[in-house]
Amino acid sequence: MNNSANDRRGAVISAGFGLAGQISDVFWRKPVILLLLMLTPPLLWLGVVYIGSLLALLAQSFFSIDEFSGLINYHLTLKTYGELLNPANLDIILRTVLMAAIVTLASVIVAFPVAFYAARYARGRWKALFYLGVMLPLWSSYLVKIYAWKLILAKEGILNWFFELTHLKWLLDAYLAIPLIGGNSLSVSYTGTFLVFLYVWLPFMVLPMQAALERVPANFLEASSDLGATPWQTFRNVLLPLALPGVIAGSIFTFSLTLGDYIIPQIIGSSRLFIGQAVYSHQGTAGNIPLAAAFTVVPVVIMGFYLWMAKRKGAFDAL
Amino acid sequence: MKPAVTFINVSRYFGSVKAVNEVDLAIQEGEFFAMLGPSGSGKTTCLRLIAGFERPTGGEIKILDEPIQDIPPYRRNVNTVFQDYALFPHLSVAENVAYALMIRKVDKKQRLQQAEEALEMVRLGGYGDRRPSQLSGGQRQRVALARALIGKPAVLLLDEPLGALDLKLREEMQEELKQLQRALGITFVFVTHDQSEALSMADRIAVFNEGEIAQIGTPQDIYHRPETEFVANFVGSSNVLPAALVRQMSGRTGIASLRPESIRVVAEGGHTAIVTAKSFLGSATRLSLDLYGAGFNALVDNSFGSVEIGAPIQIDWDDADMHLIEGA
Repeated sequence: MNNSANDRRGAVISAGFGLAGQISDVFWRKPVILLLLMLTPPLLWLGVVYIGSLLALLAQSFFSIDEFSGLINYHLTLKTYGELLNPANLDIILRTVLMAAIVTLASVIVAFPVAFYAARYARGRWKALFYLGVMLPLWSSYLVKIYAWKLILAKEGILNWFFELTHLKWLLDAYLAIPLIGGNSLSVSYTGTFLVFLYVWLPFMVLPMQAALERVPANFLEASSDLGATPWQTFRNVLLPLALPGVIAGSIFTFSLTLGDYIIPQIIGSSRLFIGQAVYSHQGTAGNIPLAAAFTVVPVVIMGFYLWMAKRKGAFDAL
Repeated sequence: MKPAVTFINVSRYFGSVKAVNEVDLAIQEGEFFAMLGPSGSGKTTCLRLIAGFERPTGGEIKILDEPIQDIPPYRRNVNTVFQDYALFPHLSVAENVAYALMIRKVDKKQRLQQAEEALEMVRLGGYGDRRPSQLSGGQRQRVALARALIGKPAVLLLDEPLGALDLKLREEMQEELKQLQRALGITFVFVTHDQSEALSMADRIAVFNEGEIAQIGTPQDIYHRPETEFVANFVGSSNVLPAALVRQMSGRTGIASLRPESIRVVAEGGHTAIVTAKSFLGSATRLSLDLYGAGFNALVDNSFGSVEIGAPIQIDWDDADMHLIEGA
């Protein structure tokens, strides 16, 4: 009798999973333990090491530097932030924000057709080719790409050669003669900086945009055109609002990456400073950590403001 | 009366697949027209050809005598109720309904007022401020209907509009759609794979099979006088009697259809059949029978008493119910 009861027990509960099986059983009964085990390392990393150092940086921005000794004065003050507002520094901030905004706008315009094609029409082999085409530039070194662009844009570069070949050199010269955006050659102009920023950050706009467009069902577009909307009206009233979270996600990448970059404007452009370069030089050679910290806070505040505006405008309503 | 929609030798091929193959069709103005067929039979492609989402590979399509195959969907005065409604999730119910008016730049106050009237027509007055995601399936269906009707289309296209609803709601909506169509007098073209839906709602039905129209006619025609074996089988799952059996029973030639509900169980003097399966449906019982080696379905009322699977019973029917299929 006892024996047969044991037999039946074996038929209900399968045994023999060993220690790993017993650990799994504990996790199954108390899922909280598993959750803690999985979340603790990343939370420690992100919360303590990363956010912690960010907060330390923020704290630094409220200290100031003693102009005579060059030592840091550990009394809380807004003096460093005041320095941000002097014309030279304000100029840096304005230049960087403007560049980031234009780069973002241009990447939206360039990325949209690519993302739309990939989301709506590309299948199988073409889709793989799309991903490869977008991701491939990300696999090669950032510095190599920038120097490659320097060669393309330089006075002795391929672009100049092409304009000469097609007898359109006058067009390029006329463009370079425009103040502010022009210069001696494309590689030492703001236009050059802009082109390289656009190239380097474009994948970060294409991918989230494509993901967002892929989630818009095809029959929404049909429904819109069925109700009398031309393709442009459908784009304005249906496609763009529904793809907006993807556009915003992409723009967060392109905008913040441009705000923080200090290498591209150093190699290509008019050698006027961007925020990243200012941070680099203040914390390095100048040893002015408080001002470097204050400069770092600027992109954080701008991004916070940008997201708040986007949310108010309903950019995340479709999520 | 002129036809609302005319197909002249219309084809739509996808590569080597003939989704619609040389179809001729005339849908009358004010008609409630159903396109019935199994999936892949070409009925939805026909609807999409009328809406303009597909372009014909060959042939001519006219709406109210106007050739329209070169006119884009947004310039056709035809509106569609989509299978899964396709309500815009980022717009409120009222904005969805008023979408066509917004596109035509009707001023905001007026279009929202018209949207409210359209919502009242589908018994959803006061729901304008909600989001589509806050509505039930049946309510979304009505919003889609109001949205498609607000522009007063010449033809309203409905793509399996009741497919996603549960049975009770579906029956309610069938009645409501019919009333709405009568009240508005707009031509409704309705795609469905559900034959009972087509039979109960439509003025006329086109039965589709493999890209072609197998038969066009009133529900009574389609049901009682199927012209092909496919129609007999698909509509009401009729019994198709092989030619040999027909000759043996009635002396006529050709195959014939016999509706399951035409078969009676009799005490004696009928044909002897073996019961192979039975299922109780509540109001009636469905029997699967083996008659002279051919499989039969019978729908009989419950008064015949009990019957065992494997047991012989006597069945009979009126000769008039046996419909000879032409051209078979």
